[in-house]
Amino acid sequence: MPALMMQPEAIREQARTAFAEAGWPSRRSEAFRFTPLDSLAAQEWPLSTPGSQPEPALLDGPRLVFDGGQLVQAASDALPPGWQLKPLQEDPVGLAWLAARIPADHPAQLALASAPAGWVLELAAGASLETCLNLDFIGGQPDRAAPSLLLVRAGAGSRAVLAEQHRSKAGLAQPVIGLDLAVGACLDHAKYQQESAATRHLGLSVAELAENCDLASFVLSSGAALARCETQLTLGGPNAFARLSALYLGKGSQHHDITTRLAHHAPDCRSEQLIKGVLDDAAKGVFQGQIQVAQNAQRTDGQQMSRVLMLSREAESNTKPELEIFADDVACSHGATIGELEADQLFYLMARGIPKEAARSLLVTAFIQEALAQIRNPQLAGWLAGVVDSRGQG
Amino acid sequence: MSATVETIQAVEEATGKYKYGFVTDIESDLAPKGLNEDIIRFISAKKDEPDWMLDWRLKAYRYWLKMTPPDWAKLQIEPIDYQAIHYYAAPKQKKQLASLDEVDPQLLETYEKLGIPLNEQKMLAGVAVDAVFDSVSVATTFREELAEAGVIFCPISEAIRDYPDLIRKYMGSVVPVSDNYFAALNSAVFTDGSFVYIPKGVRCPMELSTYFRINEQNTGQFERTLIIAEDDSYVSYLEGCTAPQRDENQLHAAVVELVAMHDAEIKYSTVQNWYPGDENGKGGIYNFVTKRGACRGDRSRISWTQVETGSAITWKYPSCVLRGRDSVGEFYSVAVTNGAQQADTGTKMIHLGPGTRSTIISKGISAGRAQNTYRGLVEINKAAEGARNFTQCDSLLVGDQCGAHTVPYITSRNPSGRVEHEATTSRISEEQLFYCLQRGLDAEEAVSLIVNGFCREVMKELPMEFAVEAQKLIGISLEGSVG
Amino acid sequence: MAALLEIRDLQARVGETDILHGINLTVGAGEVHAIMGPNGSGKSTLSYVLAGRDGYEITGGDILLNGVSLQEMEADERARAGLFLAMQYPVELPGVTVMSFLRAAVNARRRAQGEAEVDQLGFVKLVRAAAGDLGISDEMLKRSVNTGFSGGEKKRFEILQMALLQPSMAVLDETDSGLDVDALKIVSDGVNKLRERKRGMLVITHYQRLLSHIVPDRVHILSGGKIVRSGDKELALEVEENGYAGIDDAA
Repeated sequence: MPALMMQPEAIREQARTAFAEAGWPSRRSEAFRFTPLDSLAAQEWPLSTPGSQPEPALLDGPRLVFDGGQLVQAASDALPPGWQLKPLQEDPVGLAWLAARIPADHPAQLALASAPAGWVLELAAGASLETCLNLDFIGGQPDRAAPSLLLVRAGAGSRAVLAEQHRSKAGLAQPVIGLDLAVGACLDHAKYQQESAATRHLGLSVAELAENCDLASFVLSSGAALARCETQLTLGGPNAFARLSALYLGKGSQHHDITTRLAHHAPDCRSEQLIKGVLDDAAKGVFQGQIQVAQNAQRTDGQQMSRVLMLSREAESNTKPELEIFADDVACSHGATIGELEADQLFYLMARGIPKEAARSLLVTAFIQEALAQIRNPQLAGWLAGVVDSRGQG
Repeated sequence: MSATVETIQAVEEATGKYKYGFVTDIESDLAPKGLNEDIIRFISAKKDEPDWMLDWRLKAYRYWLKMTPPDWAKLQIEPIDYQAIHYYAAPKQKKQLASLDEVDPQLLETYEKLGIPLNEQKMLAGVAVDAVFDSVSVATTFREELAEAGVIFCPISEAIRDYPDLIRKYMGSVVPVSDNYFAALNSAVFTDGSFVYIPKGVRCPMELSTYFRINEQNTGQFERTLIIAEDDSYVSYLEGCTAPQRDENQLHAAVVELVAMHDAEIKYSTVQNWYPGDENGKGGIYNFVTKRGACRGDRSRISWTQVETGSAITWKYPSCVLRGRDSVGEFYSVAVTNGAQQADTGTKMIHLGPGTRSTIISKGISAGRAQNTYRGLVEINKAAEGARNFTQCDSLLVGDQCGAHTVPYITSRNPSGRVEHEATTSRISEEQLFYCLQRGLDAEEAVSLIVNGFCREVMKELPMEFAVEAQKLIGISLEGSVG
Repeated sequence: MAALLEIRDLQARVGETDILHGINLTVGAGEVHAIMGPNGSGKSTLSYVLAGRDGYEITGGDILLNGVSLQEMEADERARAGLFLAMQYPVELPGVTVMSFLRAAVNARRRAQGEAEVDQLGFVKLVRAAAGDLGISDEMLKRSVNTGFSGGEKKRFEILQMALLQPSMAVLDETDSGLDVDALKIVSDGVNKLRERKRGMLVITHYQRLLSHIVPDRVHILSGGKIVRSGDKELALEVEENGYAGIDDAA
């Protein structure tokens, strides 16, 4: 039965069954071949218990605090006018919208089944909000799960700024976030993933843009033991624009996976993707970027570029940029490069008296800057530039 | 005349003649359908093979039994019934026709368009060849020249008998039996194929073509080819032909192994025009081929160049394993799909040694309702210090009913390795067509010109002999796609 | 003088928009006519309608080349019948070398006229000679058609094609656009060399400047999809003096 017809409890039940059947994907699952998750089957994942102390906000602006994946209204700020919050349970259409967009064999089915309460954040049509609304994910315990379900609905012609901060301590963090943009809505979005060193972060964002919509989204993935930041985006109405950018910084034996599936289902839409990764120590980076252009999506302009900088011998990079084109009047291209710091550039800096370490740092910074330059909202840009800066490079 | 199979014991008792413990009428031309150890013994006996070869086949067969066929999401394949295939058929004498007048006029029209000389047309169509053009004597002269240079070029079955050491050393060393489902099948039941051996320091004096293999008159279903180039040698090998290959054999599972030693170079070119099935794709050929080149020697080079049109379902990944220091792997490909054809092609470049380089240029052209997929793998492994890869995949869509897909996998485990990959999608613009039309070219000529321009980087890698035919082939395969 | 090109009460539209509203024009063999007009007057439309480009539909009237109607003929048929359009924005054909393109075009024409195709070596010589006259280097001949060509190079290449195809009627669509003084001279000289008794030309331009180099026998002013005035070469100078507005008022 299609999710749209079902009651909330039935949807949850269906998700439970789906996950039980599919289990955690292994290498043999094409979508997870570079990021197999079967090791997660070794244990049960009970839900996190709330009660963590909220940390200071990372960014100015009202914030909603999610402890172990669950919203803590007491710790959250009041929403500015224009935004409204209501439980997902009371919005069967919203729940169905989310459920319909999660593939049956995707591990997010577990989050759909087990998240205790979901939320719908609605932005009134025509509302225009400059200040960023923050979604701060904290808390959780190392042997527990922190699933969350959140649907953000942007009303027609609305404009907003949304930031996600993920710095929980949960063993398994599974934020599932839907972005449903109505005609002409414009959203600037950024996600900062800096989970604890023991966390496995499996984030899934599902976005749907209607006619004339505009979405610019940036993901900075730097924390967790294993992080998969997955975005599925559909350009469903003509003249829509989406910019998906990401920067992943791998250290130690981290595993960073950025997976995007961008579907052009309407004509005259434009999409841009710039995904950059810096891999040091024994880190592993994965980028899977599929662009799909449907037969009716004529005059599509879809561009994607992936660049990886490898800083150590033990690092590993896997890239799979995919194009699936069914329309002929399109301009689609993707490019991917993998390499290390240019010896010529290093030498040039050192020949000007700059010590090797500082020279490397300068070049890595320059590499990272190109990604950060994709963030068009100044508040978000400033914030993430500061974050990267304070991490230090080397 | 079909064969009957009796139990092993009964036969041995009764005749004591057959070493292999089975009875079939050894004179028969056709093994019964199906695959089992008896059939394999039958094939080996027919080919007069030594014991070690039969053992090798049986091992492969037992491996195959434990494997499952691969499943690729984008191909719609009817499940193949492996027990419904004849695994051995004696080389068929093509039905002899008295003259070209008896040949299907459409076939002749295609030959004309491809510019195939009249005598060759006769050969291809099975018309009795007249004294002016004696293919056997031409081939004999050819062989003499090769013998002088020390080059061995013969059917694989001959090589198994005459050069067992070379076969035992190299066969299965590049594509092991366990490599994939079709390689295992092929290893068990292969019946035809080429063996080429170029000794040290020898530059093979002419392009070797499958056309000149004597006594191999049909395109085998399960061909096995092995090419060995010793230090400092060179060979250019051409496979296939532009004339449409109509074949009752639906399944082709070939294995091609190339070995290049220090400073050696092997150039392997394929031009194939497979019968694509009817306009609904029914009846086409399944072409599952494992082609792999091992650059074993330092500074060795292996190039795969292919122009393929018309196959209903193609599954080929010519690959290079770049082990030797500074060795080079190249892949140049044009794949044209029209009608309801599906193609899933690509390459794998595995960089193992330092300084290794690979270049991939893939041009996919889809028209009609066809689906054309490029699937590539570039792997830079830990020891591949300073490795370099450059990949360019371009898709050209003709009309809005077809699809073009690019699925590259890029893995790097060494920071000094550099990978650059680019893929673009385009179509023939109305402006470009108009420009050509205004200069007097008709629509089909215009499409052919533009498409050949699109493929130019690949076409110029083809040996002259093939290039001209390949260009015409591309033009023909796109007939009816525009306008 | 025999009428080479006759445009009879031509009406045409592009997509849904009517652009030409009844054009009457006759070009005799050996004559060079200029068509001038402000932007939006329908100059390029006229050239595409003559050449038979898809999307440009004749809604009334007719076009006759050597007395034969072109209406039912496809673009390539018209070309082989002797019509040449030197385009304002020549498109790129990546990977298609200049030589192979020229050979294909010349052979197409020859086949249509029942002649044998060109012999390779002779053709290269022929092309080089014609190219030399237009200042086109050997190096440029090796490039892909129009790929990476400057504006001037593109226009010169159009004229080279005209020289090799020997059309009976040539339409030059804003051949001077984007050209500097030197390029203009080379292109004009090239065109003038192709003027002859059996050939007619229609030179479409916005500015008078080109017409000082390619001196026309007749000048027509196109405005709002119709020819509003015709005269001799002095008319072009008048346009330069008074602008198109002046002409319109007088019409």
